[in-house]
Amino acid sequence: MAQEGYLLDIRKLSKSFGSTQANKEIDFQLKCGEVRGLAGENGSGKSTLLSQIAGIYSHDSGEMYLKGEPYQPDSPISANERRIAIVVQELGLVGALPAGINIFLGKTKKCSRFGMISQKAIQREVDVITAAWELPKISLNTRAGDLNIEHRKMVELVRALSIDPDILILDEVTQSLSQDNRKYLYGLIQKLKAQGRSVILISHDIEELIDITDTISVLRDGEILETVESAAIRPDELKQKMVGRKLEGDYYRSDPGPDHGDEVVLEVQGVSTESGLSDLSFSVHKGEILGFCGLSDSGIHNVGRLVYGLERICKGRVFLPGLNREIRRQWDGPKSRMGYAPKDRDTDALMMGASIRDNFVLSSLKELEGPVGFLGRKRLNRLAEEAREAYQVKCTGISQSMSELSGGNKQKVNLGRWLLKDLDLLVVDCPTRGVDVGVKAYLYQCLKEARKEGLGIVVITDELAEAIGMCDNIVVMKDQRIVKKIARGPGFQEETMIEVMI
Amino acid sequence: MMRKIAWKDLMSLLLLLLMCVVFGIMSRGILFSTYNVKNITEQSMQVIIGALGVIYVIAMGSTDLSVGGNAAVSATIACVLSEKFGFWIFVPACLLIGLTVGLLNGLIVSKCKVSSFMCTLAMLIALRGLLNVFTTDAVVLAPARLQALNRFPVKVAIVIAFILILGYVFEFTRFGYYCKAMGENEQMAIRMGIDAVKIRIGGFLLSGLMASFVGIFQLIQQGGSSSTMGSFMEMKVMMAVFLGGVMVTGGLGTKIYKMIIGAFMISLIVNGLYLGNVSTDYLNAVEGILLMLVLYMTLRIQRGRAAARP
Repeated sequence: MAQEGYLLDIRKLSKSFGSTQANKEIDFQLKCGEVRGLAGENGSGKSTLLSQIAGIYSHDSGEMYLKGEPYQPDSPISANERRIAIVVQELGLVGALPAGINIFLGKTKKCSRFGMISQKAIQREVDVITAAWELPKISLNTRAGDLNIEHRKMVELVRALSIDPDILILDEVTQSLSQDNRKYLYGLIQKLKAQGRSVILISHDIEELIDITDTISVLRDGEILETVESAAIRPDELKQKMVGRKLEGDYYRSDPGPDHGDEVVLEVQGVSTESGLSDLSFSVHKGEILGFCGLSDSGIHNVGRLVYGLERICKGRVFLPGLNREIRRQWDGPKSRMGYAPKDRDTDALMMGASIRDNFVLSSLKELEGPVGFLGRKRLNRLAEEAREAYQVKCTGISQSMSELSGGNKQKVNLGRWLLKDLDLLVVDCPTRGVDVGVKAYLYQCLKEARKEGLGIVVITDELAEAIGMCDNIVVMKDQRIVKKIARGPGFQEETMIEVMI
Repeated sequence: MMRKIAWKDLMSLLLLLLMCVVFGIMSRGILFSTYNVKNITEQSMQVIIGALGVIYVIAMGSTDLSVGGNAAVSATIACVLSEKFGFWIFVPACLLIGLTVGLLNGLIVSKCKVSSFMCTLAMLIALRGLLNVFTTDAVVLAPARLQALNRFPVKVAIVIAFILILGYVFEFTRFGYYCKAMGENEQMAIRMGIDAVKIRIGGFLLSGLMASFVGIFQLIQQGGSSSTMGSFMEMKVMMAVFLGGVMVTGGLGTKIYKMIIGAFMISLIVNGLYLGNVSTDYLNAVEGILLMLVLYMTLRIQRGRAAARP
């Protein structure tokens, strides 16, 4: 039955959720030492396929063979026993437990004596893993919930490696990492490959996908369309295959220089914060997109929090000239015609258990109030319905639960609820994390339009191409300080930026 | 999708009707006698008043266990004061004490970041102790003028007014919305510009205020205060909210009407078992088992939603 020579052989695998068929008769073969990429739009069934391989979902029909033997995992643990490990797209850690315990969760026996878990043993085991795979050291005693998303992903990665996997599955992991940690990950993939182990990964960064994989399978509507050699395909070809239509040219800006109003919307003057940001000065103008780039510990994500009033300021001031107001504390931001879309949208920005309607209207409740503070259902519904249409959120209706939406559609809600308001300034942290090319192009379009209408936008991003493609000015940060400001023009290239970043 | 949700919400009402039928048969119809219906309503009304406040706290994912203690202490001290200074001081004193307890709870929980469960549990113990100071060596009687309120229609009118006002605030105003949003995701709420500290204190204030109204109602019914006044009230109130199918974590699924159904369920179980000639020795044990069963069934019905929020 199973063909020889394949590490993993999947035949006619199908899976449906209710009436939606997520995977239709998937055939999928993986060789030893192969790095396979999966490309496809949000909702094309990539994650579903990987989840079945990793034992998170069971399949409806079809067969899987691992090294020629039938393989039918009924849980991630049984997949681990067959040496298949996954790093999931969503967050897969127990927030209340320290990172170290998380790594060996369910396997703590190895590191415990008389039923007590030994921190030292865990540290030793983790050191062995990070040394073997040349990964950076990670702090193990912090509660996983207190780690930022990037560190959490690294912890999950070490956990996956701790079972010594033959197949490592990475579901949109790079999207959460900044440039330096991505480098480690690329190195890791090369090492796995050299040892004859295989990797399956999903990334919405098409260029990256082509760079690091050997082959790429394109999925659309739950089916594998074709599998191509990565070396033989160009990014735009691949994008076209994914969406099934021609994408209109370049979705970034093409104008050569910065172009914005003179009026200053936000003025940050010599600010240092408790979290470590030191001596920051910059300003945002009306209709300007200001980008922030930097490595993982450069502090760029804290800049967003700072502007919005979520950081404790030790020195200097964040000032809004238009309103003649200073931002000092929490709640100052939202009260000052300002919006903020955080990087970690599931935990920081959205109500996952609530409906799309409730998520949309929450930022506009004050404007919707009638006499005696009345918030009529009709008015809320109308706003949500208009927003759903305006931002093309794919859903069954505004009462659908947020948790059922795909990443791209969640992000449309996350940004849309701010864009529909009349604001002066919007801070977006990694606006296209976990979002496919189609939605990406759409979100850029939205931001460009908002900019044209005079909105000042701060874009914090881990993707240099995005910053270069969208911004009027870019601020590069290193070690919590600003090291360089670059204006749109000839110097606007990845190389010049990376040079100062590292 | 819409229809499915409506059906789910209707289930707890059906469960209530089913319980009516079963207990009705068990008691051979006595359950539906005018006197008994009045009795059940009377019992439910106290629970509803308490729950109208607590539901704000539960909606934001916190708990308030001090309701019973607060009700007893505020009513008792108000009685003592009104004996000294005249009846006029009774209502303001009672409400003021209730609000003070709520304010303390709210400040400690939101400013000191103590878990609301621990904070209000400690408050409950302290209040119970305080109650003993007033009730051990003297009988505390309710002011005679208060008895004027002890008429069924008056009480029903008051409760309906409460339901309308607090129901409106909960379902149709920003404050109610924000309370529920905090239960969904507090981090998000803060980023949305919701003043979490203020809203939390507001919720506990309301809870304290309504607790003092529970005290007044109990005083009216019992004619005086004792050391057992209001005991287990906090449990009944919380139970009512959860029996109606509200999530322990709060959130936007929290609804006033669910809580009202829950309040009637509790009174119905207690009353129905009593009329059904269940031996008094076993009454509480059976009551507990039944409550657990109903809670389980409500959760089963709501499972679709619960599964989405582990």
